Amino acid sequence: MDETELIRAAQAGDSSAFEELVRTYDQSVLRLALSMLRSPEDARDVYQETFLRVYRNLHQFRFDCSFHTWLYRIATNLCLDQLRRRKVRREEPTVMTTPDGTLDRMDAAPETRVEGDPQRNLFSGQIRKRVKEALAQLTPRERMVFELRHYEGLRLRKIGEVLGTSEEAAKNCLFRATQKMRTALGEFV
Amino acid sequence: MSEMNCKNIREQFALLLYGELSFDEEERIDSHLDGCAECRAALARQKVLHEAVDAAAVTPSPALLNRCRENLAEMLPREKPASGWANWWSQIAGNWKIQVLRPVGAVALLAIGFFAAKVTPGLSGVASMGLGDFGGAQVRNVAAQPDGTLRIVFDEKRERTISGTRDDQRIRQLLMAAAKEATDPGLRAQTVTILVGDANESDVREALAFAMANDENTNVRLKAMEGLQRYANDPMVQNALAHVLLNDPNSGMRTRVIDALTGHDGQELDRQMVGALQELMSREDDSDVRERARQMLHSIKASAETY
Repeated sequence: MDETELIRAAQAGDSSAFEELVRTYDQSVLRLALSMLRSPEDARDVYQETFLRVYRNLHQFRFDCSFHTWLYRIATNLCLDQLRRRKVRREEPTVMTTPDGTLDRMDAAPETRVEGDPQRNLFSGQIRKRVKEALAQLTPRERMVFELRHYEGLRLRKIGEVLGTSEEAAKNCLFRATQKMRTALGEFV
Repeated sequence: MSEMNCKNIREQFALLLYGELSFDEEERIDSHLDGCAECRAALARQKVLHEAVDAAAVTPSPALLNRCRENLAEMLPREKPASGWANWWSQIAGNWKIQVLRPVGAVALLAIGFFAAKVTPGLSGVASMGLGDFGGAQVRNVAAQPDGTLRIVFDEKRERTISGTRDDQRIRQLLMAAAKEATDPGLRAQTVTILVGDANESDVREALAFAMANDENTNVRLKAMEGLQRYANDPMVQNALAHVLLNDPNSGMRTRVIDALTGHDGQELDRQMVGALQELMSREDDSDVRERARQMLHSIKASAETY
């Protein structure tokens, strides 16, 4: 069954077709939300709300755009809303204080490292930290465009469709984001 | 070159690397780069930066994905309680359920289908490689010990630890499975780095070739390629390098394939590799990669075009 047939079947109540749609996209949605929000709890909320909205509104989907675009439009709007709310209530840090010292919640999951190459691990750890800091300096829209282009691999035309703007506006946004990233990370290269 | 012109050109590098410039814009930059060594160096730096950003890529943990699916399974019946959705969704959630192990810190197990790896023709032997005696296991830690052995932690029904040298078949099996299936790209990269030490073994080269051609993480693909560079005479390795040359989205990877081949004469390169280089000439967008391919073909006295 191709995607169009899957969607039509899901609209008609075919459970396995809806399952297939969720299976196809849910890891991407979660990765995007986690990458944007840097908080597992917030990413989980966005994941849940995204698929609940898909579930509620699938019957209204009219194939004016691809399902992927429609789904990402819902997910990106939810992420942007969350980021904007954070701006209002001050940026919620991913780093929290614990009795054992500070802990970055994004690093809370056990991460394994071979102990044989500590210098390289240290350097890549430094880069990772600096990139995260540089990403945090972008505006929500710049951040979203950058994430969608660099990590999700979407073309600017598609990003424009997802965000409800023109390809040119997405391009300008990406341009600003990359300039800021280069300024922030220039010393590493 | 005027400073103003160089500044304008360099501002376009990021969009160039994303392939988001028009034909005319790329032509303008290519033309400028031909005569400006400083901008060529600046572009090389921009490529390094571009790839460094990959280091901050985020991958949701299996446990988080499981929690999300379970929450969704709980919420959906409330949305439409009278329908059959709740029933099937519960079933899905059951199928997707991930066993979270104790003690705290243990990682989740995923159904093997979740790792459905992309399979490259000719590399299917590696793709079907499993964990043998450790069926269904999930490698979550590999650590080098001071005595030269490797300590591998993996989950199955219960956590087990085995220790042994790299030539221990069980250790070898777990390393090769982790290189392919581990969800943490850092762990895959580390495992690949260890396997590179045994790249003289053909089964290890196959595992490295699979990682080089298929892993979604650039760093893992790069490490695998570094380990295979010395074995570019092996037809299986050349097959995988040709695949990378024509399919890898990262221009740095494509460049390194050509570097790996440099120094080989035409008789050492199989026909498929020469054909891949020629095909690259007609489809490569990156002028630097194209130029290297042209020089490579010239050095082995092969035409830069296909007829």
